[in-house]
Amino acid sequence: MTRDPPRLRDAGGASRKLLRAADMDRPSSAARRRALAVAGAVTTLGATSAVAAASSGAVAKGVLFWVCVGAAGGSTMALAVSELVQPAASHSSSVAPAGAAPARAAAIPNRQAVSALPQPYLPSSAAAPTAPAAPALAGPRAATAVEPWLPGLPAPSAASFGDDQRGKPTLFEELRLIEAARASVGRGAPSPALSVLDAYDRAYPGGQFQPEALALRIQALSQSGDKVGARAQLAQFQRRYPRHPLLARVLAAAGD
Amino acid sequence: MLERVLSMGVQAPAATLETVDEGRLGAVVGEHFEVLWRFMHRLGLAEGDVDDAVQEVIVVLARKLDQVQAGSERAFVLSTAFRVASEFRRRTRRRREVDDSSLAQLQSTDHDPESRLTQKRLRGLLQQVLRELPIELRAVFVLYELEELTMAEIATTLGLPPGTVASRLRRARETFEKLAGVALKEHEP
Repeated sequence: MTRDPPRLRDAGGASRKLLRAADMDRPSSAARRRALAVAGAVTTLGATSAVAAASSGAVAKGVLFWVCVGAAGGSTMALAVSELVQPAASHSSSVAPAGAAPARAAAIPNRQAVSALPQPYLPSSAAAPTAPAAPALAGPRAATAVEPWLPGLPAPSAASFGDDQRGKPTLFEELRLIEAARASVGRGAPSPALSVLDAYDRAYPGGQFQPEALALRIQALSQSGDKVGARAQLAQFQRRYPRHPLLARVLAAAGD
Repeated sequence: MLERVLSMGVQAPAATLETVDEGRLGAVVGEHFEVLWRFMHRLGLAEGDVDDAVQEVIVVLARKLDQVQAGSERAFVLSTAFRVASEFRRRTRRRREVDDSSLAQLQSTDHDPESRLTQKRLRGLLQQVLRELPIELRAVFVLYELEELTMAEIATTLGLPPGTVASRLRRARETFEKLAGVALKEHEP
């Protein structure tokens, strides 16, 4: 092997200047958090995928799609996972099969690390962490039950919409709704998507997928032709999640 | 799709995800995330693709972790990253590569606005110059000049003969030095 030449960064001139500029580059803490979350989610889902597929195939498929591919949603999906793994123990139990080893659902180093990481996507205003849905959307639609028009997705149980779910493991229940809304938006069916999102906001005001839900709402409103509503929700998104990776996507959806 | 990801540049998975050592996986990802992320960027993936590509590497890593010897994690991560990035570039060939705006999203430790602007501009130029290198040269160059691996480590990481690493690095450096000079001359105020 030829001897290693001195590195250009240690020489002079233009190369040194450019190469040293790279020293300042760091991935964002959010990107790190997403990667760690994926590492945790991949193994957890792997361990439970058979059970999950049996009980909720579409959701399991959706999770794997979100985590591993992200083609449709890009970083959205990874972000969703990163958000949901923060309360590690409860989420672990939410996806662990009844027969899973208890130790697996307990503290997992990488998830602990995820929990300890900063949360740059928290609302910019601490006073309004869970802003309610826009009044225009919370009216008649809010009373609409989730209908069986969600292909491949079993309707969420009644209990999943109850207040008693708050603070309990809700991963798959939440994900079921978000996935349903996403599927509707993907089909160009904004009305059912908005109904599902209303149900989601009502059932999970502190839910793990609030940014994704709001982004989907903006897309759905835009699809439905409600540009004013979409822009109002966009303003809310910008206020609550000013640095969110979905921002560019929702800006495009709202026509900004 | 998962199968496609898992088959990308690796043999049939030796381990199922059920048997993955979660603690080790998290530790490896945590330790090598930055170099992985930077490497993906330097190979020319756009901001959004970097996240996706990193995830693909993690999935492959999870599948193969039991085959990765202790101490070889970085080499495995980088070699997988190179394959995944190459595949991403093929898939998104028509898409524009990373631009200055995405570079601006990189975090900087410099809080002085003027200095930050200068650094941003230089990083943009760096990325432009790197973009001119064929990916095979770029990978060797980035690993040597930016990640400071030795040529022997690069040979191991990328599975190349040492002579190939040396010749690629020589060609990459020659090209980079020429282009860096031109780029700075054109853009220096």
